[in-house]
Amino acid sequence: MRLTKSEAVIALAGLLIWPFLILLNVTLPDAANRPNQPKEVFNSIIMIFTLILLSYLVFGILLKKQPKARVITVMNAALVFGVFFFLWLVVVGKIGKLNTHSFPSPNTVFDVFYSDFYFLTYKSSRDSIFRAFAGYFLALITGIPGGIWFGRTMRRFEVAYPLAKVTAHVPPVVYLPYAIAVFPSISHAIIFMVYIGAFWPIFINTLFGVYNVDRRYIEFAKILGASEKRILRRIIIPSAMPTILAGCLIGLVLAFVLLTAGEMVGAHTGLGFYLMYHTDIGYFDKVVAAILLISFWVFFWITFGFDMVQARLLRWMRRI
Amino acid sequence: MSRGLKYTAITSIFLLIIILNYLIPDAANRPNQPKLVFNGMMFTFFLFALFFLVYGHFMKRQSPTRVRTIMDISLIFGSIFFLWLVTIGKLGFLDPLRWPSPNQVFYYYLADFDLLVVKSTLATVKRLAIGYFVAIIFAIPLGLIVGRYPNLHDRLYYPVAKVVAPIPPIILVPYAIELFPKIDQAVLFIIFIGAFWPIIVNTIYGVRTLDVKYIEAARTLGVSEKRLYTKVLFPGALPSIYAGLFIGLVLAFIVLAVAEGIGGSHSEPGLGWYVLYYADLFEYDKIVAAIFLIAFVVVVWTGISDRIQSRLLKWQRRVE
Repeated sequence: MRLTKSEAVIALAGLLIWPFLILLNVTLPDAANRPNQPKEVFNSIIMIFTLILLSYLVFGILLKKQPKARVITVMNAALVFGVFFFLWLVVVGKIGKLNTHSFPSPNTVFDVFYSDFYFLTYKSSRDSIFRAFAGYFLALITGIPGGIWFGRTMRRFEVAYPLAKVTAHVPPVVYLPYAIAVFPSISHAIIFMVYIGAFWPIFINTLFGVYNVDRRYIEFAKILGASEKRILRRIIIPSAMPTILAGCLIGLVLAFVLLTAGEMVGAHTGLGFYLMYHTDIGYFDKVVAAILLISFWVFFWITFGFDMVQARLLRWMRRI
Repeated sequence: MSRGLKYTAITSIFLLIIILNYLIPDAANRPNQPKLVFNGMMFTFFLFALFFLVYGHFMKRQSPTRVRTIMDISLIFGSIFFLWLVTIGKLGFLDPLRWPSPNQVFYYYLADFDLLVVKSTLATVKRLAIGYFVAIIFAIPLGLIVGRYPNLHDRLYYPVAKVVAPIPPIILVPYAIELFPKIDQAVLFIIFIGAFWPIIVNTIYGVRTLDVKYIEAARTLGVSEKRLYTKVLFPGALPSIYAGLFIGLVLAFIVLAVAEGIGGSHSEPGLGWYVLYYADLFEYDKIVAAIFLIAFVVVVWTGISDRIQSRLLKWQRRVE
């Protein structure tokens, strides 16, 4: 696999900016208004990230196990975010612009992951991820069959669509106080909210996907004597699958939105609660740490969970 | 049963509800409920259904499918209100604190008219409209430009968007409230972020999946760059942009509700604040009233945007 000159530059810059960050962090003195920042955690996380990038490069380019375009995209992203961390480190941490209260330096933020390891990195993450997936799973197992049933005939579709459109727009956050009053625990209430938030996009997209299946295929199958079950399995579900998966992705994003919303407003555990609690007492380094961790989890589950399932379920599309 | 008889029966459910509401005595645990507002609303529903029954069905001035859909929906709403009124308001099932009767709920539109219906609703609609509008103004032109240039898309936009777009905008709420002096500005910023990503993602998708033939044909005919954007790219991407606007509105509304709940007060009200404030005071009847009001706002909002949508997408129907 040959790289063009600009691609090679991007790949190298995307890799080398990260060790350069560590070098800067060790050699440059700290800003006068933020003396003696704890640097170990930031440096080690950047180091681990560098090693992952390096092994990805070796694996992808030298061993040729990955398509070239994907490697370049990853290195591009690494470069863009490397520049972001560079600016953050230099402007805030080393030059000391902006006030120390609302704008913590990356060194102090990353240190929170270690100093608050049990509450933030382990316990809050665990609780939040469990709630997100419980609600999302419930939405999948009710939204998809429901959408198929309502999308199957025109009459059901005409009724379900206007109702769904209105209900989907009502922000599920407003059900939260009610859910907390009705459900036995706050955790259940938040799972319910995640469920509602993820349900509507999944349901609406399944509804559309099933309703818009080319009628000719169904007619052909009927002429050839296929049973209703077979039509469903062989025609309706496969041809609605891209639309259904698009809805599942929106549902997953909304599940995380409602999870954090619910935890911020009502819960006593979880990442959203951690974020809100430390906002109220004014520890913005912990707030930023929680923001980064939530972003990481969302990115992680979408890239390494959803995208892979989608690539597997839609592999017939690539062949076409 | 003939169709006319069936539709007449459905229409008369609303009248039946009003009559029952006066005839049957209130439940012992909910004495002397103010019935005026609920009955008024049921009468409005009755007139609405009657219009479609007489003008649409008997005078045949509207399409039979439309009348059938309206009647199906009326049946669903009518039975929900009927069951709610009888089981909770008249038989007195469930505890009155958490499960208010419809009479009590709808009475607040009169009793709390100033704060709930006027101030909170206007503030929410104003914030939503401004934030959403600003997001549209930025996201659609940017999306058209980024979608037009593959290099800009691959090198800068995609790496950033892949990581940043799915991050729940809600987690920025506490930070925004800290950074911006007034809650209106913070809310505007958050709604902007929330609606921006779905709109730009879908705009770019629309531009990139647009048939290259159109762009090349326009080029061959000597169309200027500006006209290419307004006459080819924008209309071509419009169906996809509308999908983005839908998700953007859902997200903007969720984010708005949370931001108002966290940052609002009596002097800066909003529907989200109203719900979460009365949740702390355990006034669930007011919460249910606010939820129905939000649904109403959504109906009006989507009704208006559907009008605009069908006006702008007239060409699509003509093509089909």
